[in-house]
Amino acid sequence: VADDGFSEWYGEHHRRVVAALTVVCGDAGLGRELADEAFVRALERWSHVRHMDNPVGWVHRVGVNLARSRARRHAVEQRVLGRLAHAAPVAPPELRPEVWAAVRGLPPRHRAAVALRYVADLPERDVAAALGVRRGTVARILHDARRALADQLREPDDPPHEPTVPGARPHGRRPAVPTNREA
Amino acid sequence: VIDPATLLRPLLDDGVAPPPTPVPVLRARARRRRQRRHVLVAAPALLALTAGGVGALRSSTGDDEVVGGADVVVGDTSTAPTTTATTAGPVPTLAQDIVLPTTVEDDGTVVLPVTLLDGTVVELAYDAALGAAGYPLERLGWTPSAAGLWGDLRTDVPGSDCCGRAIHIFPGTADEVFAGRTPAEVLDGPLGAVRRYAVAGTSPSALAAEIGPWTIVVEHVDTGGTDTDTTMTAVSRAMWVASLDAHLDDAGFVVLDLHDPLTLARTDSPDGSVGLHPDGATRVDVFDRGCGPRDFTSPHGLDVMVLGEPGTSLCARGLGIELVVRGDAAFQALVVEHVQVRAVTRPGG
Repeated sequence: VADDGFSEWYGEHHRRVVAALTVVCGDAGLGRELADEAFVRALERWSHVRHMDNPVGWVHRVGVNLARSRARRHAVEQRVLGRLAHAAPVAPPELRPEVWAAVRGLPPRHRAAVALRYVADLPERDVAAALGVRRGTVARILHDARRALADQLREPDDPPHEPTVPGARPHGRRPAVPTNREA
Repeated sequence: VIDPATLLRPLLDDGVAPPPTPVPVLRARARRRRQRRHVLVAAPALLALTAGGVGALRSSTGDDEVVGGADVVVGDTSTAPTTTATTAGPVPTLAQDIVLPTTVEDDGTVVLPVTLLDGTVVELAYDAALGAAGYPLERLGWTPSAAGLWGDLRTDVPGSDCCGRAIHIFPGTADEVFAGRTPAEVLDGPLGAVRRYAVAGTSPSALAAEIGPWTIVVEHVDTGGTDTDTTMTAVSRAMWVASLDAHLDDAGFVVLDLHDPLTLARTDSPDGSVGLHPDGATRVDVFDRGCGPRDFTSPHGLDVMVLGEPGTSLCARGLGIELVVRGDAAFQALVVEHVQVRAVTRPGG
């Protein structure tokens, strides 16, 4: 069946879209499901989508919107009934558990920005469009996300991240003061 | 220095990841979406009706009726759906406080009629052997779902569930469903009081209206959200309150009667589900959307297509009703062998 290049395009980008949506929604199973749905929607509109400047960006945007809708419903349902039957999120086996825990610990919007910028490899402009925010906001979100990840993944003996205000002292730790001074 | 791209790069390795869903499967899904009669809108996720407070339901006559502590048996003659606190049965993790449709048994065949929210009655039937094998569908409960459409909301967001709002149906009063929470606002609509339950900040909340033993819940996202299609503004809220109407059919199920400008629409989710396992795993989803391709025909003449994930599709081609069976392989095989769609009665038909 002639598909005007859909199969090839799908095969080329599927892995990255699944990976990005896994990070967006914090669930490997759901990420794959959302990716499939996003590609189905692309397939439905392929004659239009394939002529877009950035069809992959469109698919990511669809996936993020689907993830948001799903998350909203999930939140409503949890609040409505309190005890709901939702399976535990599936962790992607490819990632170290501590990395996955740190990523999942990010606020949803930060996670989405990280996914679109660093996994989907979209430029900040497209990330901003997908999230419905300004480009400057994306830059700030990504900066905050990197800091949060650094804090989460910092080894106990690592120094905390440097302050962003010149001259300010690092938070959290005092400079080491020798207690047994030599006379 | 943290480089998220490096941290997350293993996600792009092909070694561990399962292969992509085959393109023909995507194509079949796309075809099914096109076959639907209505625009697809917000898809409510499957809900398990496990709220502990829903132990007592009023019957449609208004009398208090408490059914608890025992299984409802096949052949129950009450006219309204009932709830039950099930005891440990052959299905090990059967949900409690579930809604059980009235069933009849006809010479070893259990007939299970369920009403979709547009008033369509679907009669499922199956050999009682299914229950004997550990899967008594009649005891697994029924949950309908739908969405309302409002046509002049935002339509330019790719992939968004534009213009629709999920409608959930729960057994019990609004107070029971919301576990005693005080409504932020009480409005007046065709069904009487419509309560708005708010959650702090901009978190989602809901509108709730009672009818008989049921509560109809509409998703509501407080203003302050970023998406026009899901933010219920004061105008949108007023429209919903004025347009949300329903009645109970002869079997006591909710049938929605949405007033203009709202229309009832189907969702990406089932029109209803039999069997709300606590983990949502063992169930038969009912879709009124016609049939796709088939792999073979079941003993009862249903088109069967093995989907892998999420399960097995059975479809009554002449009646336009598709069942998607989810659960372990044994359950799927038993449903394929024993279940049939006996009749479909359309509103006004």
